[in-house]
Amino acid sequence: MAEKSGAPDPMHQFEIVELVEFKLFDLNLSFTNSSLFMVFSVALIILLTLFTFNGRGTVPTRLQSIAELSYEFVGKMVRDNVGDEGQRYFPFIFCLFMFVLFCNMLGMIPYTFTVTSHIIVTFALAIVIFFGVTVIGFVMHGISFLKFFVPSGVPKALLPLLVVIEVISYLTRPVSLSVRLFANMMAGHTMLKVFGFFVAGMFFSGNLFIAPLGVAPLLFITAFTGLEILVAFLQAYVFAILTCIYLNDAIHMH
Amino acid sequence: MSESGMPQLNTEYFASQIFWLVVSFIILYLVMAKYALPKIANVIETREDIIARDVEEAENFKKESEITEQGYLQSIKNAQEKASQYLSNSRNKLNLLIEDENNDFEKSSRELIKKFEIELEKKKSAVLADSEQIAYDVSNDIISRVFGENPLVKDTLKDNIKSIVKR
Repeated sequence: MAEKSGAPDPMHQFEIVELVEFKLFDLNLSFTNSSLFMVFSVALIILLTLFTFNGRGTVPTRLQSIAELSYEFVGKMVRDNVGDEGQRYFPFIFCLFMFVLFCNMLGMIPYTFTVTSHIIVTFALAIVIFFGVTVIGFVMHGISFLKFFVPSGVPKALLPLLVVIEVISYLTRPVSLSVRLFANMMAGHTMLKVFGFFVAGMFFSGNLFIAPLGVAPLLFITAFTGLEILVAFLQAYVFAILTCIYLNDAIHMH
Repeated sequence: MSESGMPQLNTEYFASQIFWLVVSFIILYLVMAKYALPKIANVIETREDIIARDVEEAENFKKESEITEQGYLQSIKNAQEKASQYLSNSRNKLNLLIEDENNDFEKSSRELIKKFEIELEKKKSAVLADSEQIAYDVSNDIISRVFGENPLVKDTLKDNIKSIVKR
């Protein structure tokens, strides 16, 4: 389908490719390139956190420092945003941050697949967070968790309207959370691909005037790759910190 | 295959993606929660303990060295004081000794001078007495040789000589 119009398709990179067929009760659960990079990410995280520690040395090795820095980074994030009650959920937030970060970063390597550029993946993560946080809220506060949707100190006449708005904004949380990550990753990668085509197309256009101008998109794509790496980190951070904030809302209300 | 151009909207692999996401994430969570995170926490805690202990030890050593330094300065001060005390003591002693010796010497020399003076006086008077006798003897001899033995002359002569010698 990529060659349908003659021009390369920038969306081709998001295509799911079946690697090992696997069906369960009529459901297609095949192992795909997406699954492969999920497994890669998980394997790399496990390698980084479990096998870089040389005994109990006072001076950490380089990879060990990365693992420790991530641990303390997420630990601080949870402490600052959720407080001591959040320590129970620290392992989950840590996994979430590392998983999204590694999926994003692996996607920055050419010819790889970006797991988080698919809305279904980010939405699945977001919906689990949404339900988990809501359940935590009801378990901790019982039915009074519903007060969360009633803002305090507003005129009674406005209250019904505001409650509706609060409920809608609460319900859109998983959508905004998942779309933010997915859209960022997809847009960035599409942009990289489009400008990559520009570079190749101009250099090999056979036109002596156009070919040297191919340097311009090349410079752009170089800078943009740096920006995309920043975005890859930033989106993982945003995803994790928003989860922390939702968790804090559920535990402490407001 | 999706005809929309967006593979993200192709529902064919939604189930597969969710399934593998759940599987890999649960594995990740179990490994992190059970093994990796406690291990990292342990390593960090151990390191912080070691650092805290080292810092404390260093502080103790510092305190100890300060005390030792103070002791050292104090002992130097003491030694200096003692030395100056010894110095002034011995100077005083020496002065006393010198004075003593001086006094002794003066005393003994004064005695000696007195003794010599007395002796000199004695010798002087002895010499005078002798000279009187010698003069008398010589003149007596001369007179007797000139005038012969004459006791009368002798006595007056003797008196004369005496008065001359005395003069």
